[in-house]
Amino acid sequence: MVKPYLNRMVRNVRAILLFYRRIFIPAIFVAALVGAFHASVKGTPFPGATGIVLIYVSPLFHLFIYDILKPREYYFYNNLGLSRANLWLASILINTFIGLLITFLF
Amino acid sequence: MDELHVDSVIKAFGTKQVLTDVYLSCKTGEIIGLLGRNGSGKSTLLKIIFGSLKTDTKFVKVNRKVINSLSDRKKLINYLPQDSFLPGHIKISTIISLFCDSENTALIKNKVFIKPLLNRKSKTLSSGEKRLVEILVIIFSDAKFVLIDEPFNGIAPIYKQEIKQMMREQSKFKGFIITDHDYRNILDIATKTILMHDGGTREIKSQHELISLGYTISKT
Repeated sequence: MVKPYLNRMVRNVRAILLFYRRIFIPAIFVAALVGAFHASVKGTPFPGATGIVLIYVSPLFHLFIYDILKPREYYFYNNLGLSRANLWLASILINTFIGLLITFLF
Repeated sequence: MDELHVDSVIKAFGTKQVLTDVYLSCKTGEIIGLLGRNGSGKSTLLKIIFGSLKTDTKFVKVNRKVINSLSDRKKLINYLPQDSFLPGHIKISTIISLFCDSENTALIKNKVFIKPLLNRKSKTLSSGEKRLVEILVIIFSDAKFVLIDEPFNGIAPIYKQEIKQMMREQSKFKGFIITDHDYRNILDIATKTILMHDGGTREIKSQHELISLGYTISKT
């Protein structure tokens, strides 16, 4: 009874991470650039600026990559039981977690 | 035996009424072939059943479970759209294992025409290869009902027969609703054929009915 539930959960987490991977790489690159610029102008610590920028920039990449460029890919995740709302919520939570982690840990 | 029950589906695009109170049912073991002219609402109906297209009224249930949201469909209904939906950045072997249980994953990975694709990412595949992978993962997915919209587009004839055979075998465990523009593919595989006509559905018992209803003009 527990094993199928666990398998499904692991599968969903894998799918969400695969979904998020595509957003993260360009988002962290842009966030680092903006963070570096912000840090040099305002004197804010670089990781802090990058982390905060990541939280704001990632949803833009989510919107651009999935909702504008590749909306058909939502069917892939829908077939795995993940709705568009699930994916938006997951990516916002992951962004916020990673953004805050970068801001406060480094 | 599981049953997918669909009724009261009404859909209009602007002033054009596409579906008017459509009824459809599919049981485990059945392959329902949906035929209809361009714009008759076949794809629209499948999207509504899957939940990716909103409509004014619909009633969808699997056994006793009424399906309202996409998450209600989890493990119950899967859908293959007309156009490719595979994310380009994921390896084929990963895609297969996400969709199928370990037994079916092994079965697909051992197919001669899939083996060379396993370590490639979907973006490096030709459109025919992508379609082949999509069809297989949907057919062998763990859903009880599978909706398939024009699966044979871009598929080489040699694979069509094999896909049909795999669907027949998998229909022991699930129900299929399939559309295709080549009605011969549908007549070849379907256990029940439905024609979308004037916004509704009508069961077809013989090819002659397709001619009399103006769907086709000859028995080629």
